[in-house]
Amino acid sequence: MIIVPSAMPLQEASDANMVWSSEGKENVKNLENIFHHCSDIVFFSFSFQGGQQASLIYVDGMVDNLQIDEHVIEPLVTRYEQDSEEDGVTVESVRRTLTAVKVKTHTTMQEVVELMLSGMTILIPHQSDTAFSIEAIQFDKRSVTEPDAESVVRGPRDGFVETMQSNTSLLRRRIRSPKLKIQPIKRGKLTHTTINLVYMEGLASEQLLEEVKRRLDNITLESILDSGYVEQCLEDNPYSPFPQLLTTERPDVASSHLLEGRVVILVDGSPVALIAPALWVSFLQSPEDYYERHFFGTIVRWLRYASIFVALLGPSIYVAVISYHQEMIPTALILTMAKARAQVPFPALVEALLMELMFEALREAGARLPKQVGSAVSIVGALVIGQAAISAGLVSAPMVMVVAITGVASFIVPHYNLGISVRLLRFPIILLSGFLGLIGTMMGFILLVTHLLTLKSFGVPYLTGVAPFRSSMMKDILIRQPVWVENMTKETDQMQNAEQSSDKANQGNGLG
Amino acid sequence: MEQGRITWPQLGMLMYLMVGATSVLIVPSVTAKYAHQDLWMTPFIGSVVGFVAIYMALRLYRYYPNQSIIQYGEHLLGKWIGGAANLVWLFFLWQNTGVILREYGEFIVGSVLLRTPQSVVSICLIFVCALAIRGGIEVLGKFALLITPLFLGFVIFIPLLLTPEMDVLQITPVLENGWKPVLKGSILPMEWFMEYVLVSFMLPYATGQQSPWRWLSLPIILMLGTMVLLNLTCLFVFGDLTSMYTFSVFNAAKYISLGNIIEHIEAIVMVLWIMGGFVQISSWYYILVIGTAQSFHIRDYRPLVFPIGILIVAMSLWIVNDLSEMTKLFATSGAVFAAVVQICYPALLLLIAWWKHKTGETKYRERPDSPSAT
Repeated sequence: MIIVPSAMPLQEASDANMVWSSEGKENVKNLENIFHHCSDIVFFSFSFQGGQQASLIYVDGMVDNLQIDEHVIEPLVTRYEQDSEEDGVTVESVRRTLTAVKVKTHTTMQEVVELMLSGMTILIPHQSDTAFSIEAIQFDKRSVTEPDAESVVRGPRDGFVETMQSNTSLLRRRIRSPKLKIQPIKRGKLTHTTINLVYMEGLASEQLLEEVKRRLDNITLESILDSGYVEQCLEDNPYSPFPQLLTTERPDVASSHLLEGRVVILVDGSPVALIAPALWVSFLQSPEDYYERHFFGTIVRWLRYASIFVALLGPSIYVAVISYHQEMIPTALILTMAKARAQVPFPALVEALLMELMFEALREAGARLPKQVGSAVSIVGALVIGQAAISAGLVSAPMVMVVAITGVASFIVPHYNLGISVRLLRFPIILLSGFLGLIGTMMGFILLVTHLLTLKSFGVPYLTGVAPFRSSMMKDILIRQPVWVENMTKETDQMQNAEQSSDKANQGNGLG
Repeated sequence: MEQGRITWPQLGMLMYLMVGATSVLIVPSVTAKYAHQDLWMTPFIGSVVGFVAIYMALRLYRYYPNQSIIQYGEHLLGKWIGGAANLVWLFFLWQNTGVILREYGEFIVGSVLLRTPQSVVSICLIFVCALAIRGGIEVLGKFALLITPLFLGFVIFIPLLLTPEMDVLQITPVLENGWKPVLKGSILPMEWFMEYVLVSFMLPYATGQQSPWRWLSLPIILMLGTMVLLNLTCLFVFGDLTSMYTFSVFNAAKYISLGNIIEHIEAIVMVLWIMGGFVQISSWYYILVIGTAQSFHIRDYRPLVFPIGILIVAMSLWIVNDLSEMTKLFATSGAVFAAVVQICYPALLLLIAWWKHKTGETKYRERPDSPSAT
């Protein structure tokens, strides 16, 4: 990946050493001063065939030594021929001798330092005022594997990795079109992280691109270690509990969003791509909906809609009904429930909060622990604690069931970050229902909906499709329409558009 | 002042819920008191007033497309008379918002949260509404459009699920005592239908290519259908006993029992009602806030939201002592006040505007939505 140097000054180096002199030897010395105490920077001196001295400077472990040997050192040592009679080394003759593919010349210290730190090999002949950068980057990287957080039964198995090159190539391999544009920006004063803005020219709206670029430019973080940092800087409403950018580790998901005119933001060093703008409905869609047959996709979608309501309101409705509206429960059921709750000392509200907190703790422990220990946590947590709590009379069996159902329902949400916010919002709604019954549940729900109605993601209303209502989007919300219908409608649309535009052209001619 | 915009379908549904949500709550039992088994005819007479109200509001909207009734009232009547009239209007809005809040409070306290104080329920409701109207009219419009299908669903499903309990012959004898009781009973629905004139507060914020007439007539027709359907349901289930229950539709819902599965759904009915009630209270509240800001020429209405909310809670506690007093208010002085403010005053304004138009002082715009760059 060629990293385009940004205009940002390197503040960590002292100014005196940042000066570029016309003597190559002087420049090497300055670089040695700059990289004082950096044992991973290699300074390698050798002489050309004519006897001229030169230095190679690179970061150890980021450079392919074989390539450098074969295409840089060997030709210079054995075949270098001076063009003119002059003493100095001319740019043309070095270029002619080198057999490496990507060679560029530079004459500022800042450029040289930045390029070297991003993995380029720098060649400075001691009698020249020019430095050469040779791209022969090779470093250890994780191979492309299936993303754990977004697994599918059917569909491509590759996922983004931490290396930018691999990620852009994964996208390019799916969309082989010159319209796929990738624009790099560098952000992070210390980390100099590359952020790539990926979009389809002509499909993504100009306004959206402008807005994304503006927000990326405004990032003034010291360090960017993951795309999460960027995500938090790009959000419209940072105080909202809802995620306002879609995240994915799957190149197929990123590509499908690109083809729908959205913008994908890749951050170097992070396997998680950001997608903007994000709509509420896209958080509830999984790529597999489209890979499996459409009946299945539709049914699973409805299952998700139902489960997000259960995840959000399940325990609060249980608390409200148990404490205020017992008449809603059928008589046979209320008798068994009353028996189960008879020896529980706490009111339903406390019981619910206790169990929900317990569940969250177990989930967090399971996520952080090494995989081998994780299963032990789930056995201890689910079986031992759950069963023991019931027999000890701390909680009732129905409550354990409600919490378990809620937990399962919250994991059905395909995007983890929406699942988090739903699980978080459960707690205030449980409290409200504990105090005001179903009225409280309703109030919490109304507050949530009104918040969602005001929320926007990059200027697009979060609930677009539902409110403001778009009947054209219903075929992807209410059902997952068969793929071939989509193609057919597109064709007819195109035909209609063509007709309309030709009509307009005719009218224009008539008027003209 | 308000940056948000609302589409015509959103406005229509907002009007439906704003007027309709409480009408379902109280109207059947009170009309039954006067019209007895003919209560289902009363909404037809009442709806005429609704069309008159919409007609006046839209006519005035064409004269002053960017102003609310508060603003052109002051423009037409001058600073002093118009200002005084506006104060009366604001008082009317304040009083009615308080009454509506009280209706919901009484309903919640009377039927579900039996031991909760009235004020707690009122404050909670007003707080939720306050947060919503700080989001502007857009939130209200979108919320109304989301909720209306659910609300209509329950309006249709309650009668359907109650069919086993119904006795159609309760409707006879039709017009036993002639038209007089029917006309008397239609005063209350009329009072509700009059409220459609409040659309003039929202009209300046409406956008879209749809026909205003169609989308503003739709809520009246929907509301007419709702009232007739629910009145008939109460009549068929309870007969002449309808007037004995305060919240007759809610009580009727208690009788729903289908195959031992769908039983005791009154809590769900109540929940949907609260959703509708939320839209209703917030729209009235919003109109009161924005009307206050307009009549006192305050640029931003948001700082007014919470103080006015407190005033509304106070009004809801002052206005009446109990429900029977409230129904008495609806049938007596409240009706006269509402008619003067909501029908006579706009009619007067329309007359003046029409006269000014004749004398050439005001332009009459045929299509308020067309761009003015002609």
